[in-house]
Amino acid sequence: MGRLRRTMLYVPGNNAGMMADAMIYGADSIMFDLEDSISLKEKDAARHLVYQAVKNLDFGGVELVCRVNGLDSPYGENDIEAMVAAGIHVIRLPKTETVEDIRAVEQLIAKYEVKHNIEVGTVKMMAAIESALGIINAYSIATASNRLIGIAIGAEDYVTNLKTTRSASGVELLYARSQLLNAARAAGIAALDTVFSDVDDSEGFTKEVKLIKQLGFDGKSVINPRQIPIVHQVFKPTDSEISHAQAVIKASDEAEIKGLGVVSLNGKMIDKPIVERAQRIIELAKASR
Amino acid sequence: MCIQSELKILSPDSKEWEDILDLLEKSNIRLDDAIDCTFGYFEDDKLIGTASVQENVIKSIALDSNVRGTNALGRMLSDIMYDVYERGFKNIFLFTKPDAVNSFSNLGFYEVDRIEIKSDTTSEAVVLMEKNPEGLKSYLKLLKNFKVTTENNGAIIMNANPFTLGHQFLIETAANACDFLYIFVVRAEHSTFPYDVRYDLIAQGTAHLNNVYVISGGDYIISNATFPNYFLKSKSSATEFQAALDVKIFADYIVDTLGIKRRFVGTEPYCETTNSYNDKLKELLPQYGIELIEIQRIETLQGAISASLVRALILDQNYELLEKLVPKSTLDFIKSPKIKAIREKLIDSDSRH
Amino acid sequence: MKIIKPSIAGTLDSCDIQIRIEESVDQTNTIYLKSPVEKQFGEHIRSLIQNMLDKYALEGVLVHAVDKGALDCTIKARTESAIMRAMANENSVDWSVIAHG
Repeated sequence: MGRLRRTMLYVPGNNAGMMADAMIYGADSIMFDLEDSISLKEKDAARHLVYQAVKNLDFGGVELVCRVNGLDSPYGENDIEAMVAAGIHVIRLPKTETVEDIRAVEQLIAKYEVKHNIEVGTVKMMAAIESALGIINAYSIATASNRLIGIAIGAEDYVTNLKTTRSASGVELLYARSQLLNAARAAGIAALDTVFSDVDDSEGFTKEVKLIKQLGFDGKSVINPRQIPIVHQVFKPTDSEISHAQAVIKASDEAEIKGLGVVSLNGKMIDKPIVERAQRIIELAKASR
Repeated sequence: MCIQSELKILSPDSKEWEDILDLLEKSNIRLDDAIDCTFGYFEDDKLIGTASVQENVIKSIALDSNVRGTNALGRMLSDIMYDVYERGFKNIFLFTKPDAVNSFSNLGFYEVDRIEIKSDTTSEAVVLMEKNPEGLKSYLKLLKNFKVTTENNGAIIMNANPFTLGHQFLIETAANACDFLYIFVVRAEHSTFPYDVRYDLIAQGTAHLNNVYVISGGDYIISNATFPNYFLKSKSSATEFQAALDVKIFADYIVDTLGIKRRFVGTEPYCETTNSYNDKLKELLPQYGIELIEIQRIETLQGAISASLVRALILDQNYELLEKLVPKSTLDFIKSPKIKAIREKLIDSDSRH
Repeated sequence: MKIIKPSIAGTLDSCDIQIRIEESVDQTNTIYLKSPVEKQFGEHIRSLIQNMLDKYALEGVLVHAVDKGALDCTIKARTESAIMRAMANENSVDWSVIAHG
C-alpha cells in the first residue's frame, strides 16, 4: 500500500506567508513552485526561501515536492542542487516530453546526491506531462526511472497544444487523462490530475474531482486550501464501503491464519484484487477521519 | 489565500483612472503635480491602492479603507520599492500625512522632517520620510568634511544651467560678504545641463575665490524629495508648502552642521516659481535666525543675464554674444564637442532652468 | 569582504521580512530593524542577520530589515538572497556553502 496522494497543495515558492502555513491544511503533499509562479527576477530568492523552509520547518509526515525550472532555463540545475541539498522528497519536472528529459534530471539529482552526501536514489521524481507529444510518450516517461513515484497532467499547456480550451465537461482532456492514467498504472506509479483554477466554483470543482476519481486517479493538484476538504470528501469511502472492506480484510486474515488458499465472505469467493481494494478503502478511511 | 496582485501604471486615458481619482478623493489626498507616473495596485482584479512616483519619491499614496489592516499597504509598497531600486536609485523618499507616519514607520521608513502650515481656517501638514535609516545622516557626515573654523559663513544654492557671469557676480558678492561661502549645486537631473557639467562649470568659474566650497545639494536641498515643484514650469498649490519644507530642512540640519548664518539669493525677474521660493525664504529664514540677503542681478544691454538666454544663444551658436554673458570656462565648454548632446536636448526641450 | 552593489530581497507582506543591504558610511556593520516583535525577538532577529553577514565575512554594510513576523528560516533565506544579490552571485550559488551556514 503506497502513500496517499489525494491532494497536492501548490505553494508559490516566494510566498513566505503561505509557506509557513502550508502544513496546517491537511494536504497529502505540498508542492513548492519555483517555476511558473515565480518571475525571472525572483527565481534566486524563491530558491533560497524553499531551501530554508524544506530544511528547517517541520511539515509533519507530509510529502514535500518541488516543481523546479526546466533544464532549458538557466535556473533548472541550480534548483535541483538546492532541493537535493535541502532534503526534498520529490522533484517535479515540468513539461516532460521524452525519456531523455527524465534521464537528464535524474543524472543531475544523482550528481548532487553524491556531492551532498545523500544516498543515491533517495530523492524521488515526478513528471508533469503538458503536451501532446508527452501524452504519446506517457508510458516510456513513466518507466524511464526508478525514482518516479508518479506522473501528472498539466492541462493548461496541453489544451493550448491541442488548439482548444478547457470546458466544464472536460471532454477535451478525456483522451489525455485516460492515456496518462493507463501509463501510470502499467508502470505501477501514481497518476495525478491537473489544477482547477476557479477557486470560487466549488460545484464545478466537485464535479471534476468525482470524474477523475472515477477514472482512477490517485488525486489532484490544488491551488487553494479551500479545495482540500472537497477532494478528501469525494475520495472518502462511504460507511457501507468501509464495513464491507473491514469484513473482507477480516475474512482474508482468518483464511490466512487457517492456511486456506481460498477466501470467502458470505458464501462469495474473494480474490486478490478485492482484498487490495479493501485495503485501499481502509487507508482512505483512516486518512479521511 | 494566495492573492493575485498586480501593479499597473495608469494614465488619464486608462479605464481605471476615475477609480484612482475617486480613491484619492475619499482618502483626502491630492494627486501631486510633479510625478513621472501613477500606479494602481490591484488584488484579485480589484483596485485597492494607488501611489505616484517621481524618480525616487513616492507620493499621493492612498489605500481603500476596506483593506486597511490587511497589510495591503506593505504589499503595494514592496512592489513599488523594487521598481524604484531597479531604476538605480539608492534611497527612496515618500510624502505622507502625520497620521500615517506610524504605518510607514512600521514599513521601514524614517522621518526626515515635517511641516505644518496653518491658516485661519485650515491646517495642513506633510511629513517627508526616507527608506535609508542613515540617508540624512550620511549626507550630514559628508558635509562635516567641509566644516571650516570661521563663524560668519554663508550659503548659496544654485542650479546654474549653465554657469553665467551673473552667477559669478552673485557668488563673488556673497563671498565678499561673509567669511566663507558654501555653494550647493542642485543635484536633481531636470535641467538641460547634467549635474556633473553644472557642478564643474561652477567649480571652474569660482576657482579664483579662496573662501568658497562647491558641494552637491544631495537629496536634501532643493531636490525631488524636498522641493519637487521647483522644477515645474508654473507655480502650483503645493509650491509654497514644499518651499517651506525645503527651508525647514535647511534650517534644521544643514545650517548647524556648517555654521551658516546667512543665505544669499539673486533677484529673480523672470521665473515665477523661483520668485515665490525667494519670497518664502524672506519670510521663513529669519524665523530660524538666518539672514537672507538678496543681491541685485547684473544687467547687460540684453537685460539681466539669465541662463535661459544663454541656452537660447547656444542654440543659435551666437558665440559673440555668449562671450559677454558667460565666463571663459563656460565658453570653453560651449565651444567643445561636449556641447553636441546638450544642443540636441535644447532643440527638443522647452525646459525652464 | 565588500559588497558589489546595493540589493534588496523579501517583501513587506505578512510573515515575510524585507532586507536591504548597502554600503555603510562607516567601516562597521550596522543593522537597523523594524519589527512588531522587536521587544521579544529583536535581539534574536539581529543575531540571525549578523550570523549571515559573518558567514560571508562582510564588512562595512548597512542592513535595514523590516520584519512582518517572519520565521527564522525566512529571515535566513531573505538575508542570504540579499547578500548573494549584493555580491552579484545570485544564480551561481554553491549550495554546500549554504548548507554549512
